[in-house]
Amino acid sequence: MSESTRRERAKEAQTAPEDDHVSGRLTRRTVLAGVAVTTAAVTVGVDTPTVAQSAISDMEAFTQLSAALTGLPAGKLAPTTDSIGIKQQYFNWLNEKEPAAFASLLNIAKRRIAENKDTAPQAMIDELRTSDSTNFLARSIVLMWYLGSWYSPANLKRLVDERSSRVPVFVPHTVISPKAYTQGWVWRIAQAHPMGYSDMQFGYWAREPAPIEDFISRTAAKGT
Amino acid sequence: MHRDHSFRLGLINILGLIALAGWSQTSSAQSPRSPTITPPAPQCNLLHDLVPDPADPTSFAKDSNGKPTLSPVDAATKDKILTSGLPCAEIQSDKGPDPAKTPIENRQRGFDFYSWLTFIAMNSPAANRKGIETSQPDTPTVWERVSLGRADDDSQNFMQLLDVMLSKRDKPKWGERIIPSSCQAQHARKPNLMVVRMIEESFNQPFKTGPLIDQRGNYAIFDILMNKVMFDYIVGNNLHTQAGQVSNKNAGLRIDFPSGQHEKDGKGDPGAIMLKVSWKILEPEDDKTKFHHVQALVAMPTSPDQQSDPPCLEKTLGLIGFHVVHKTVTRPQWIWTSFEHVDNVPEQKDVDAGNLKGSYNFYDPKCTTDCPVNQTPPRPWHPEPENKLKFRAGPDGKVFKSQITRVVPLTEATKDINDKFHSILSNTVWKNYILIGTQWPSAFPCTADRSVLPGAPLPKTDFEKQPDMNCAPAPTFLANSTLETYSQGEVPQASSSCMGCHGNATSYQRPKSPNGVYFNQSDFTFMLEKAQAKAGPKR
Amino acid sequence: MADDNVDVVIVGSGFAGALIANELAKLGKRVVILEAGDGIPIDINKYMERFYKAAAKVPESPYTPTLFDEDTGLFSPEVNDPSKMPAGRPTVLTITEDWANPQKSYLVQDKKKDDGQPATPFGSTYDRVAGGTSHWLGTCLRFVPADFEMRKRYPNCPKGFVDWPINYNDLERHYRKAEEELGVSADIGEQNYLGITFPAGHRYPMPRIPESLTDRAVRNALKNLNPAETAFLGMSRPPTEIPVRGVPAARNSQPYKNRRACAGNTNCIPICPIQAKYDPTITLNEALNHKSVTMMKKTVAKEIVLDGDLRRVTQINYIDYGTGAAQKEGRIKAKIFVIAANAIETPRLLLMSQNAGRKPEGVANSSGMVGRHLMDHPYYVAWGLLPKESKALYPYRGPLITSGIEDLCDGPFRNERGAFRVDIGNEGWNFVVAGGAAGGDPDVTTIDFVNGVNRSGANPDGNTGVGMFGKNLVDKLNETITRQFRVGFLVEQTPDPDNRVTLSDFKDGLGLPRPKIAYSLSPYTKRGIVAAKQLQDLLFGKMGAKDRTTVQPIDPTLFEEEINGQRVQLNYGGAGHIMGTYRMGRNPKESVVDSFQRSHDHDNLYLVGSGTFPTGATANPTLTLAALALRTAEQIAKRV
Repeated sequence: MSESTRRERAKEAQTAPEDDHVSGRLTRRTVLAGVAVTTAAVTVGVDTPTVAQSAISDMEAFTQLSAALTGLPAGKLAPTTDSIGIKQQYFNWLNEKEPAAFASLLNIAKRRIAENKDTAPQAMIDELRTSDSTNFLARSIVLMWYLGSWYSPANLKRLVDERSSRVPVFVPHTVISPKAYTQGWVWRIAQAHPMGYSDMQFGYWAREPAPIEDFISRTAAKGT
Repeated sequence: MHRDHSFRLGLINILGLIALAGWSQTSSAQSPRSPTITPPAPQCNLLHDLVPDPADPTSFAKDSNGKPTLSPVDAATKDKILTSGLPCAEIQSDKGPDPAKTPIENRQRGFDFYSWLTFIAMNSPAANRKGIETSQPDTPTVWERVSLGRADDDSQNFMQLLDVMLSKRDKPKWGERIIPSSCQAQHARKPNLMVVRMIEESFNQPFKTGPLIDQRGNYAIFDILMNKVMFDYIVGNNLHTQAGQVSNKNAGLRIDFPSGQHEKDGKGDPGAIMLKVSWKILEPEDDKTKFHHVQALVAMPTSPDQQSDPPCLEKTLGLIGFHVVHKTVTRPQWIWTSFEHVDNVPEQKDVDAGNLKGSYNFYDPKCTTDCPVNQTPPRPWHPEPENKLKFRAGPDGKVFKSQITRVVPLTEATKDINDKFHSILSNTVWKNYILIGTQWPSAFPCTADRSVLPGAPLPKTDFEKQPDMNCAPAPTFLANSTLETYSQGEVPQASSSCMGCHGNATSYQRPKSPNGVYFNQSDFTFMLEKAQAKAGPKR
Repeated sequence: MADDNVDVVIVGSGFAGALIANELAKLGKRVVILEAGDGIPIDINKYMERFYKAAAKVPESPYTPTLFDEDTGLFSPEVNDPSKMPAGRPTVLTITEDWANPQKSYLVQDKKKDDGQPATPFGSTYDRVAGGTSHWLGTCLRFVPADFEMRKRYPNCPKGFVDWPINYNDLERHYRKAEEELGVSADIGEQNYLGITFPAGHRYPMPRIPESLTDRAVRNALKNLNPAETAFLGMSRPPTEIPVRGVPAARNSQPYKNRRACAGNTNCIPICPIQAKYDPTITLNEALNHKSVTMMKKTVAKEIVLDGDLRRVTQINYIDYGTGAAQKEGRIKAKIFVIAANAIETPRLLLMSQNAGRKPEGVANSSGMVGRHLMDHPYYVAWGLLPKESKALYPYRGPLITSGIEDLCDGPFRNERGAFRVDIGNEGWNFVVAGGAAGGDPDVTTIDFVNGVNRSGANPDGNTGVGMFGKNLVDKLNETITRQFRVGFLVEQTPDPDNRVTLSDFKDGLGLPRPKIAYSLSPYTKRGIVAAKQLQDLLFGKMGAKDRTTVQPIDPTLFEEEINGQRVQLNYGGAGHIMGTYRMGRNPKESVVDSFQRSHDHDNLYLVGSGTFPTGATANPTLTLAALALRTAEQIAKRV
């Protein structure tokens, strides 16, 4: 390769920062990541409509579904350079706890994404609301990402059914893992941090927090 | 210069090609926080590990099984690796030869490669920077020497922390060692010996987590050093005493040690580098040739039940642990590298599988009963003068010996890179040292808030690292079995993570007014908290 | 244990025990500590892991004996069977509507007092592990001078109040020593309220922890008050401004004794992940670094044995349950004995020490006061939500508490009602939401918006079952959670001889009788809570906050009072401040120990900790008990 070509490539690579995966954009890099880490959803006994020509892996569908449900960018839930890898833990957990409903949700996600990437988030949500099993599992998924804890769909349904109770209904939950607790997103949505796990510096509490974008959506350096 | 240019071309032919984010423009376009380079500037090591041609991702080397692999290291490459010196910054990317590896694994490999280059450069002979191949186990290394003021020396010469954080008001002088009174007579006779003045942190791991006792009953000894860039920053800003840190002048100072970076032509400045090392006392029965070792005068520390002044002992110290921490322009949360002696400890999984060597520095494979693993010694912990740095005997006359395992194993990728580098260091004592891992901040939008990506405009942010000081350290946890012996594990916030812990480091600075903005983060180093009070309570 | 010339035996390795052990160790005294629970762990990995996994992050959650099933993180009654645990302890998880169930609760709580009146739950807990109650918050307030002289200054206050045998000035030097040992951060300029004084030129060991945004909002709300609005407080003059001051705390604001400065993990209770908050294992480790000090862990003292004349203590009998399966019984002799086992376990041990029937009332109890005058700081909590038009407060940041209101804890009103101090929470609705009935926040509020329910009270319009997804959810949660806040009121409790610790018929895992508790609030104390409620209303009004405080109908601490002609439901919790059960005094007929905490009855027995407090005041007890412990240590040192 000539020196000039090499320099061109150098410039290209240099101006492209080490970015996080951009939400929704399927790149070869993404596919490789999906191939490396996916565990296929178990679909024993469930007749799922085949998804026509999509190259989306289960993991990618899960990420997109989670982004739609949580309102957080896929690139933050599952960054390209991911030192934590919480998505795999959640994926495995859901596969184990609610395999049928999870498979249904993933299929809804894949179909809607294949149809139209831009309207897919709302389309997924509209469709999953039509059935209790997917509706409440979707809520459990949001709570997993937000709290690092598992609130089962059955318990969430119970809270809805008994919402007029005079005394607040108590339902148990399980913290998925210490790692999951520290990766809960609701704390960042609150511009704070999980209690017992702060990455901030002395005195930060005396100042207003950074804007919420810095906590939940920014994928480039400030000022760039 | 032509010579450098063709040198680089030659490298690229052998090692593959790509230019990465991390090099280009001159330092004057960069952050004002970087030091101006005063000639003659050192040459930075621009080597990087293998990456594929982005135009043809299939063009990776393959081994005889057709599996993608790093290129073999031939003689010319070996020579370049061993002689091209210190990297001024890291070079890595998310691309690699094996499509099964994730982006983060590829970057990790790049950082591990950079760590080895750093280790080699710093442990090259002080008298001949390019001479590691012919070095002897006791050849003094570059970092063990405090320079005598040669400009090109200073970035790689180091000074011990205690010689900088002095209790008197005079400014410490680069290169000036403070010889403790207990050692002065011996020092006069043997002025070339290293001098280690022990305080509690010299035998008790951080936050008083415990001492480490080897299989001969000797305390392991820890020391902390800084390079001249750090020294200049500390002394120049009057941070070496508590009074200086607390002064009004420093009330608004955002502590920010200068970063290292490569320049376009290979010149550059390594920036701030700090070291933490651990030593094993070598006795006549130990095979000295397996350790890099030095003769040293060790001034014992005082102890709570002290009756008399502690002595100064001449000891042969063998290097068993080596943390090097380097601040670079794209990683202003620093890059955290850790090496160990290969015989220190077995991995816990090897213990469980019965897969053990004959002996270790801190593990007895023959002890199966009453040898609880990773336990601290019984208290009291302080070495007693009459025992001369051997742990005291218990009521049964036996001396406690630490029985330590590595809780989190090295990754296969790290083991591979260790094998590679051992193959080119096979004639030297350095084949007995292994990289444990490199921890680096992986969330680049976060690191870039504080860094200046070459070519990018200056960030419009201040130093208030919200929401995150540490920018997703990768790997999340890292522990050296001799330096973080008792906090190994994978529990967030509790288990050893270089950045997780160092991110909490603060100075004694205070705001000018009671409700002023409190700014006392000390840029990931605990050195500043070792500044002494002029007249304060005994610590 | 061999009779190897022990100078002092200390039962209990918490604040008081560790401080005394260390003072004696520095002088080379031979000290043996008996600790009922586990020893000091090598690292806090297991503590933090247990904490993170815990489904209910209660104060005891990181520590042993473990509360939870390891896999699910759920409270496990099987694991926590108080009849089987060798060194059990109370937990807030059993203070439910079933609070008096001895099958579940370690403390056997009576539903009736001695006089037949209803008893209510005692809400405070402690840890039983090396270092004692390390789950404390860190607050290190001094008492104000008036606190030591209730009887003298407020002659109309209830009968149980007495004067201390010492006053503020007697203790001032030891307050300073305790502040140095614990590492207290505060700015002296704002700490000289209500008669608190310091020597000229004195400074706290470290500058104060910076205040939070919520602190500032509360302070601003309490400026420019109309005297008519604050007349209810009964101060000598109705204040027109109520100051918010930094709370002195054993929380590093800079590096101190090899520990890091606070990083705002917002987790002081139950555990600081970086030990920026002092805990007694720090002093305990210092003590153990002297050759002359040893600690026997998993060793429960079961009896204090007296000599033939029933005057001097000769030994302590103990059960060592830690070595293998079998328990070992043993005894230890010493010159001087110190019981530092907290204000429930200490009277329990004294009452158990019947010396083969020769002392049916127990050791050190000729006054009959052992176990009596059990006090806490009944803790009334209120929480609210700022409207979305207000500036956000950004809770869940910084230490749990950085500032409080101290200026209201003394005044003429103490003739009529219990005083209180106020702590300003930085943790939003974390432990208060829905009165604790549904779990903690941010979980409960988050579930409300995701699931379309309204257990928190923050989602009244969304209680439809529909819920939200996506960006709307994010915005709503941000808008809501950043505007949560809570304040807590710690009220002084009347010393009531019938609030007491006795021995129950229920045994623990070692066959020893578990403590029985009889407890209730006096009208004087309830009037203090009423005043607190009125201050709450004033504050919330000034902040423009919606009050979301609820008292659940099943709350066993619920009581009703009339305020301005309206029936109001109130409740209380435990502040974790257990005091009074072996009070100090000059008269051996009316007190258990003297001002050096030495038993009136037994010359070589000291009883330390907050159990010696004759009155409870409003300040958190730790600093005062630490100062008293250091004062006691000086005395003991002269005698061995």
